[in-house]
Amino acid sequence: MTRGRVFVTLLLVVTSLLIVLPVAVLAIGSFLSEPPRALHFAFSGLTFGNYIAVLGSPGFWRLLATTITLAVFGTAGAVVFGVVLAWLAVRTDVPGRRILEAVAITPMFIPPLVGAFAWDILASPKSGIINILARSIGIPQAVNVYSLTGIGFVFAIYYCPYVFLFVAAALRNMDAVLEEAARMVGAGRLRTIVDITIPLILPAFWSAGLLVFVLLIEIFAIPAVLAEPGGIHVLSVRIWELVGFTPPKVNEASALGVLLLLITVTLVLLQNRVLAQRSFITVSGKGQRREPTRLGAWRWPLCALGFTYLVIAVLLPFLALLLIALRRNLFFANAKALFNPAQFSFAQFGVAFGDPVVRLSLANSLLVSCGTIMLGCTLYFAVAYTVHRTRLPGRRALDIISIMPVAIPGLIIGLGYLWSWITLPIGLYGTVWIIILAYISQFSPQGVRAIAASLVQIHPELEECSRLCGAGMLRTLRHVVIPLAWPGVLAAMILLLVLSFREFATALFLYTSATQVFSLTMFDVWERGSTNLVAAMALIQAGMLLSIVLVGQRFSRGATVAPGPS
Amino acid sequence: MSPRSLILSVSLSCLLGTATVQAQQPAVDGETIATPDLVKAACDEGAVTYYTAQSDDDERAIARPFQQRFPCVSVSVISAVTGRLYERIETEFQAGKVVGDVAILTDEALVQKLIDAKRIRPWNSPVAAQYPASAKLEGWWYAASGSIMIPVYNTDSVGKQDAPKSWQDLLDPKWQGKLATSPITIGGTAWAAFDFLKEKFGRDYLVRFAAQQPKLLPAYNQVVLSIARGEQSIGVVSALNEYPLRVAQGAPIAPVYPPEGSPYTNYPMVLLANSPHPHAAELFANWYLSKEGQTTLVKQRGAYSVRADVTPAAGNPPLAQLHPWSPGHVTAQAHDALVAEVSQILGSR
Repeated sequence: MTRGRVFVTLLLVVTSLLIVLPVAVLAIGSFLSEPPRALHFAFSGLTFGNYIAVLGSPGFWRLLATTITLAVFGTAGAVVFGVVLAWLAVRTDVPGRRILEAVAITPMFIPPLVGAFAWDILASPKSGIINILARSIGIPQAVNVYSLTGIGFVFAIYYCPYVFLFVAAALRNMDAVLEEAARMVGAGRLRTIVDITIPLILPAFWSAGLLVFVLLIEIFAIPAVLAEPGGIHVLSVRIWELVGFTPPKVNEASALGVLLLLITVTLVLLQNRVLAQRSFITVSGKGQRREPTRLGAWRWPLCALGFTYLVIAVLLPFLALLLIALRRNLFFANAKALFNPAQFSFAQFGVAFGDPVVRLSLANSLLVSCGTIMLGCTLYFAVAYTVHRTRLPGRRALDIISIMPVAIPGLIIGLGYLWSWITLPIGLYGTVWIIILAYISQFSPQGVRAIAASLVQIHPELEECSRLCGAGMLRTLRHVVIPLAWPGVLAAMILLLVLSFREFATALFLYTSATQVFSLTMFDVWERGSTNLVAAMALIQAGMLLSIVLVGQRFSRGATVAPGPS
Repeated sequence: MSPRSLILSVSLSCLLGTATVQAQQPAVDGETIATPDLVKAACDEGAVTYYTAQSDDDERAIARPFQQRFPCVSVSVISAVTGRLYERIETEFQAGKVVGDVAILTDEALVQKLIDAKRIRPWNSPVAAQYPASAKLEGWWYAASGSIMIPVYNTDSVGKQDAPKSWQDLLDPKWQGKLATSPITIGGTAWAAFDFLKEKFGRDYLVRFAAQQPKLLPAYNQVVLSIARGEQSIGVVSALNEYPLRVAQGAPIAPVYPPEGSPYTNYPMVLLANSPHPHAAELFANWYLSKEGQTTLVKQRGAYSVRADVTPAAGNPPLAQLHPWSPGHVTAQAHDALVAEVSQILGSR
């Protein structure tokens, strides 16, 4: 067996344990009447009953239609906002592009539950701040976030950073010579964008778009806070309900998870087929110059557009959270009560910092995030490299395995881990490691895709050249491939930091009091109704993540030979 | 070690030793909760893991006096909704890796299922006599906590005169589209509420309630929040969610205590079978049921204790005045039938 085959076999074993085992247990469980707890499969209870119950339940098809409609709305919005912002920030001379670049991804730093809550406070039909202010100038109702449009909008701004991260990484890696060539043969600005820029970032575009679409089908917190009050029902909330049932209908929840998995794998295969017919190599051995696209008269209007977006999507919800964190309570019926100075204090921040559980869980979260990033990125890079840069047998299987968890809600993945990993004789149940492993498996679709989007842009000639000069595989990886793919790797690391920091559903079945993570503490505080403490904690988290990301970006700029200005 | 520091450390340990012996008495405020042997065995185990369906933070605060009395036993709290705790308990037992020692669940039917499956071990608490027959299954579980379901209204948008006084008042057409509660599927408390409404007023009540087009939110804290913010006018919620917002945060909400009574759900406390710290579990659970434990619970959560000698939390009337109603023993079939019926009537998925 060659070294390459040994490597792929090893990767297959690792990903099978991390991803296939828990997912397979769930899949088998969806055909049984008793849950396969601790890998006890009661095959005498083999049944299609769970699927019949799920598909035959009144209103299921309507539920599915609503879920898909909302996800399409959200994805379309996220893609439009994300691509425009990324292009403005990375490839143009728009004023303030550095600020755009730094701030565009900050909505991600807020957990979806708290983000949704901030929009609830801002734009709920009666007590939303925007509507209270509108009423004070005689407009009865300006906005309603409890609607398809409202939720679609929150989805879009919440997931726009994903698209931004992917597309910005691709744009940074793009060879500007191609755009210049187009301009030289007489193509105008718009024509260059449509014919050259957009086609070249298609892999990143499709990867991000598909991910966002599937994640929007899976997301629980935003619809739980914003859709249910408007009488809008979606699949993810239904899955939570099934697991929250007494006794929990975990087999039916698994069946729903398997259906979502089938839809996702189909979409991914379709995407692969579309992309496989073309080449997206833009990083070649020739030197590149990076002249930003000159916007001319459009500089200031586009600057205004970018910053309007930032104010609406980023500043407003953060201000709402700050208001909640500083106010003693969030009950106000009119504009006067809203700004009553007697209501303001910094007490919640003191409470948040003083609580030993908050501090412990913050430390745990940092540990979990560190582990997830280190181990996760190594694994994701290995998988992405094998899938996209080698012809080793087994790479297609790796690709499919890595995408599997995307459609399965974290809560269900956590359940799969509980059922399967508790029996493995290495004693990880109850430790922080099982949470790290579950996170690595849960986020593998995002991580692998972020890195892959960068890898497919690099011309194989660069690696071949290095190998011809006598460098071995590892040396080539270290000195050629990783530096060139660095924007994608960095995007993956940022993504993992944020996702692992704010995830809580996956940990719900796996944590103990010693391994409780920050997001779980926040969830508990939320359930207790201490919303101002939740807001203070969310702001602390956002501030911390933003600092880590900014420091990381600065550090990576100095430490690598990554192409371009990133 | 210098002679001075040696003297210091010896005298310190003497002092601490005395304190420990004084604290670890098997009687709490004159109420015997354990034998000296149980206390000793619990101290030898040194830890207890407590699975609870109540808030994490509340439970840690409730356990604090216990920790002061028995510093030799450290309490780890793991909080989740009952369904998820059930899944953990079952899986840990089947894998032979039981982590939880003691648990509070919110659903009697589920606890019975666990007893039948031998996941729970027998437990005769020395304070059992303080618990009325409706709040225990002697030898197995005792209602260490519980919840009452009541209507709540927003005092800014609903005047006191206009406010509903009874369950029947909720059917007044003027409240159409202004009501909120949670679906029956969210757990034992919601189930008991709908069971009460059907038993007390008949199926027709549920049909008319559905005609009011109530908003069904996934959790009671969301319902209370939407009432307190004025998004909805009236809600049917657990008093455990209403109390902290009304009392601690000064939310503009007021509870309604209907003369027809209110559904009360026992939260059974149980000892888990094959657990790693059985003695510490028993000591902790006995303490939780004691007057001191229950008084701390009531103060911390605004919950009710079924013990007659525990006064209700500030701002809450005595439990007896609320005419608590309990569904009694429920079979799994009856449980599922009601879920199906109510879901169909209210159109909740």
